[in-house]
Amino acid sequence: MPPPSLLEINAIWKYYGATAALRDVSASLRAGEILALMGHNGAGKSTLVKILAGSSQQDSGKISVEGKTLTGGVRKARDAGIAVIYQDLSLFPKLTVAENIAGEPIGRLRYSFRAAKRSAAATLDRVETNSPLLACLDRNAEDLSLAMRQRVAIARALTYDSRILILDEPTAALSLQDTDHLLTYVRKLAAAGVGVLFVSHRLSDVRRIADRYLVLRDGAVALSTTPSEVSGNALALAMFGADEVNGAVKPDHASNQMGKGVLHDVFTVQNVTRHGEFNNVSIKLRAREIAVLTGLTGSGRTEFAESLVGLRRLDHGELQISGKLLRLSGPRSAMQHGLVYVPEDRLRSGLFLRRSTAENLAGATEHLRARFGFLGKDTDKTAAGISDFGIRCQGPDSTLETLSGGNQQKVLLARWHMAKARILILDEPTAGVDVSAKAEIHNRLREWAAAGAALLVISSEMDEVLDLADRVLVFHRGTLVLNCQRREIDREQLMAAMLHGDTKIEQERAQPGGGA
Amino acid sequence: MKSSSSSAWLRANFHRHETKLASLLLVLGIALAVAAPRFFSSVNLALLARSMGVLLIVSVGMLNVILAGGIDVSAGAVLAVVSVLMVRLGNHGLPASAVLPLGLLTGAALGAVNAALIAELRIPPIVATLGTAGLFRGLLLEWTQGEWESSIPAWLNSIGSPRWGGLDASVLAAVVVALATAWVLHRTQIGRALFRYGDSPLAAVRTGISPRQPIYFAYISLGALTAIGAVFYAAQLGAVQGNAANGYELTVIAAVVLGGADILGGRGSLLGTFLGVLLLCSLQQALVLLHVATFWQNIATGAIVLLGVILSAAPRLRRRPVLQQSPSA
Repeated sequence: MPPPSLLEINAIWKYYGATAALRDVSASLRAGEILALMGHNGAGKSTLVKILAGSSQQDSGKISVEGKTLTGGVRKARDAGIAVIYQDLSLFPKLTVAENIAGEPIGRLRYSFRAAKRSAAATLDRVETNSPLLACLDRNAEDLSLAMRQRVAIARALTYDSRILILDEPTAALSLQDTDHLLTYVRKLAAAGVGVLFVSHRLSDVRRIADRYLVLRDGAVALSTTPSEVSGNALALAMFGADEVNGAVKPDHASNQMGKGVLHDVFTVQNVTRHGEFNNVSIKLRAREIAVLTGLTGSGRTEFAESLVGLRRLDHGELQISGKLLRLSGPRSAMQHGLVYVPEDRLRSGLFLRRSTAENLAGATEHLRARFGFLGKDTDKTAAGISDFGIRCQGPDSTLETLSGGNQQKVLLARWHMAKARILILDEPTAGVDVSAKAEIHNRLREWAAAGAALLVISSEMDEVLDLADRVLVFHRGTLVLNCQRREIDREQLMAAMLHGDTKIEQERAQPGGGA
Repeated sequence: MKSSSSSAWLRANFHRHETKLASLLLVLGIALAVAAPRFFSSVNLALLARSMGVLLIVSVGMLNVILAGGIDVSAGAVLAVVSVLMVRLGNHGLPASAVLPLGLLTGAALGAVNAALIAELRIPPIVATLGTAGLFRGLLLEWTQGEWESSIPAWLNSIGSPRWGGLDASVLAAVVVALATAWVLHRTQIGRALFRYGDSPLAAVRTGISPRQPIYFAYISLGALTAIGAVFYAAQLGAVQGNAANGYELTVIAAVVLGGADILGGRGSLLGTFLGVLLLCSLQQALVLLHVATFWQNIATGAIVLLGVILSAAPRLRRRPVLQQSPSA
């Protein structure tokens, strides 16, 4: 028998409404062990972390720490020795580093800054020799760089003598050097007997550090194994859920667009760079073509897309539409060139939820229709938009919040269709919509392309990439590592490009810039 | 602030908001020394201190609320309710030993109503307290039917009468309240929880701070301190009515914000609030002394509040993160 479990997760179920976020998840963690919790976006990783942290409750199932059942509440979880370092770090930006680290002593009325500072310094000494944080105990946390803030979060987690440390996507925003430092450090903690749950979807980091893997997919355990028993390839397949294990080349889904006439370049992106986000990217978007850009979260794809419409300033490089150099001051000037960006977070930055469907449809075109700043109602156009895109709503006056997610997304697409956008950049257009709405949206996008538009779709979903794309683009750590026709690539090569930045499978640490 | 040399101390504190406020006060003081030297007479300074007492007591309570990321626009209404209640009960012959605790309890209870709306029903503070402000004030006017309480009990009158070289009990009370609150804010768990909750409610909850406790503490303490303020408010005026302290909450919020408290919560200090109150009251007093028309007093007050807020925002507009390079591992 292996040493007894530190943490035992037993048949956890968790529902949000009707959807199961976790389905019968069981796992265990031993002292000194690093267990990697992996899974794609929405696989249930964060839900499990929240439950372990005590900030969310499972609907059924049991969690026990050293044999004792864990019940309810953040403090209970902390007292049991569980510490969580959230991806957003959850620090107090306006408080000093010392106060952040010393945390919240339990059960005492009195508070002393001096004691907090002493305890913070003691924690830092325990954590590493000569911690650079010792010099900035009196600084506010908001004044520190991200890597330093992360160290503050780690030190805080260790203040409570935690025996179970949960790190949620700790390397997502770190540079390579900081990542190295962190991984070494986590190893040291494990060697000292701490059980570590390392949540990540970055295969390269996980393979360097984990003793065991736990892969979640759609809320259920897809794979639980050790490094010696599994190849990186199989891990990736477990994460993404490929049905065809050996990636048989799918026949080109439809139409190679060549049949429809000569493709001409509409939108040219040349050697664009934003330091720290993406580097020297060149692509061409062509009329009647759907290019799908994919890559892991944090690979720079969204930053790239935002830069194309002037939401972020480019450090280098240029943009051209039909051969003419483009100077963008923001989305409004991009729109005047028929270039439109549909953001991923449609609820916050795409739609006006409390306004009517009609108003939302008009949202982009009002200033084009207005005469001397006065608006009239354009009932016909609105009706056409609703019927063309099959938007199911209680008429044009219904407020948008009464529509389902899929229909909201259709409103957004219809808006830009009415605005006669020629070049569309869509960030995760089908995130959070149901299967039938997704199929409808895909059809709409294909029609749109067929009618002469150039589309760049950003998607993290493997099936969507393979299904929708005429051309596939892959970002890896800010570099375009793959740019090819859909028929030239299969599922495995695509996964390898996303995870390693290289189409060669089983290469552990690919150099960014390789491949393609 | 312990430091080996005074220059290091100066450097560490140069950019603090309190330093800027003190400089602003110094400038005002120099201007007054030239324009109205009478300002610094002992009689006038005592008058200034008496005018600050009530405002400081209520502002300290408001600081608690603002630190926790809240706001309370019902403070003026609570002040009116408690002062009218205490004067009425006193005039009916109830002794001070009964009236004062009752007033304090009423203030705390009204604060608890605000806290419950915000913590339990999750109503945004500005809306919740706007509602209760109308409610409290309306009920008070219904009860008094607009009548003045034109006399106050003798014991209350004596609380408000000057002694100790022109100072009255409100000055002493303000000092005690300020010192006690400073201790609570900096030396107790609940005080630090106010800062934490106001800074980042999510992080606070994730580190095991109750999401309700700071809200209840902040609003109940404001209610209780407003009740203490109401005692001196009634005592100094000698008469009260239902429309008393109308709009007073705005002066209070202005003083706290001028004192450098972040209106979004998590940042602020008692020293700053004291300086804010001092600056506002000195300015008012000076303008009266200089026979400046009332509307100019409003303009000057508004301008100084804006100036103070701009001063406090300035470093944040320019700030760049330090330690951008991570030290080698």
